[in-house]
Amino acid sequence: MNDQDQDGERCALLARAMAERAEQRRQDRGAARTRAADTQGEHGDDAEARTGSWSGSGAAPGSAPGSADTRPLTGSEPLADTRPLTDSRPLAGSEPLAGSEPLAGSRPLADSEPPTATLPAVGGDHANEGDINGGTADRDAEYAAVIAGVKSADRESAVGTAGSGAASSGGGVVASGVATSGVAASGVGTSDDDTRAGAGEHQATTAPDADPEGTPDSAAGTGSDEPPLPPRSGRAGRSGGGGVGRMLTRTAGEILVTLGVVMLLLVVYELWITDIFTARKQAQATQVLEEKWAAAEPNVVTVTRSAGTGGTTDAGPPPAKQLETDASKRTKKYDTLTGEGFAKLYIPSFGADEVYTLIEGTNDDDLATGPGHYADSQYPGQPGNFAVAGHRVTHGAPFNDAGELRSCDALVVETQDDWFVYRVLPMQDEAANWNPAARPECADVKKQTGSYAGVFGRQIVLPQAIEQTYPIPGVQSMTIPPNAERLITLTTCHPQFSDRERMIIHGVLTKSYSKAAGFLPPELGA
Amino acid sequence: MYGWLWRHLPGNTAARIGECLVLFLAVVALLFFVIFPWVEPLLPFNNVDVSQ
Repeated sequence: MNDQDQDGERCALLARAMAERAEQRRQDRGAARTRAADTQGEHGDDAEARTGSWSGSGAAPGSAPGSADTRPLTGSEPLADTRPLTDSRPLAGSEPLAGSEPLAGSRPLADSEPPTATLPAVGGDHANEGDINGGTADRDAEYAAVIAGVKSADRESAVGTAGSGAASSGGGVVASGVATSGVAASGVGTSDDDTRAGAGEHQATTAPDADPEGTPDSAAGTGSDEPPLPPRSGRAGRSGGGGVGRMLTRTAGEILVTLGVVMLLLVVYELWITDIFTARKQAQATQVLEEKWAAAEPNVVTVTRSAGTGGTTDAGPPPAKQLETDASKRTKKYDTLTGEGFAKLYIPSFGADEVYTLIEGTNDDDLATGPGHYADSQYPGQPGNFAVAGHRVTHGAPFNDAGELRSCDALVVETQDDWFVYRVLPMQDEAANWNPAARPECADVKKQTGSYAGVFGRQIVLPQAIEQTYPIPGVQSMTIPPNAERLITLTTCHPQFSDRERMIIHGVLTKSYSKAAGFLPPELGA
Repeated sequence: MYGWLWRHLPGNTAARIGECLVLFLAVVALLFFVIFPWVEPLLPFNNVDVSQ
């Protein structure tokens, strides 16, 4: 994730900054000490030079012409130094320098000053203090640079929030003010930086001899890519509330970002991953079903071919006419087991290869495997209602296009021994002027009358409308009346991506065929 | 949070990046295989059957 990338970046920057700083300090220490008695400016230059080399426009360590110190910059070297910097402290973006002793007490003024207004003014004062503090200021500068490094590396978003907000804007004022006035040094915030800011004018003249590579770097570095550090945050934060507040803010931000990522992952899961899971389960269920069918007693179909057509029995699949059967003569010979497939549903208008293994049962697991049969409803071809629920979105979304079904579209069910061809009933707005002869596929689809008068091809109902799966849809009775229609009912959610309502598709059985090797109902092609 | 995690991962930066990746993938797997399947029935777009 981004956070971690940034952490990596930050880490690298830090290591470099620290190494350079240590080197710098070693060079400067002697000079700084002697100059400490001099002007406030020169001390500021030390700090400034450091910032410059730290901010690393690339010229820093290698190109230091005056530097006799050519030791390789390793991450561990500064740590082995006299510095009380532990590995964890500078990295801790949230509580930089918490309780660090070199800073504590070195600036009595610091805590009492209001952050924003005084900063530009106090620069000089602090520079004086920097002098007074002598060597300590060295360290402070270093810390400040490290902090600034952390800031610029991870572009901390929490800076502008909560407790550090005011402080941050204060730092901003200083930084921009200094930058626009053409002084290279920027008030990065802490008093060390104040030192730098105050010494800025001096630096223009004294810096070159103090540290040749410092000036250009600091001009580029501090002015452009150091985001202003809250002037007081280091100070106040180190000793108390600011650090905790910032840490809380940051953690809260991280949690929110994490939750956002989790939500995105949930979308990914629903839209793609469930499809993969379901495809696997569906394939497994299909395989089990096909093995079961293969092991079942073979369907005895007597195909009589007329002499005129050639006579050999292996001349191809038997013609549909001869396999056509009377559904009332077919009996259910297969067993069903909840959670396992027992039939296949073809919906040619969804696509030629749209076939789903139907699962017995409608709980979540069943529906995650494939369209599920309402256990209380009838079976394919039986009088009454063969009712199936299926997902409209996610989990393979078998009924994704249920809203596109038109009247007379074929819904073909294959069982162990039979093919059953259902066709979608007339829609409500077509029913009044229904003419079965208008389209060839509608020849066997009659307008529903009598107790079936309220049954249409597509209905939108409330989720509680279980009666849509009853033998006479919409009639609260599970008794199968004599001369009942043989219906199919598909249920899915409606509107799409919602469960406010259900979409119901009703169809009526128009044909049935016996299964025979190589035979596919002609309706599958339509 | 992530800063803490980063500090407590062993190894150098490259190793840490790899570890972060592994941790991230582990979390994703946990979400995909355990948490999301568990939370899914509570979501409003997966109820497709009619019931009383």
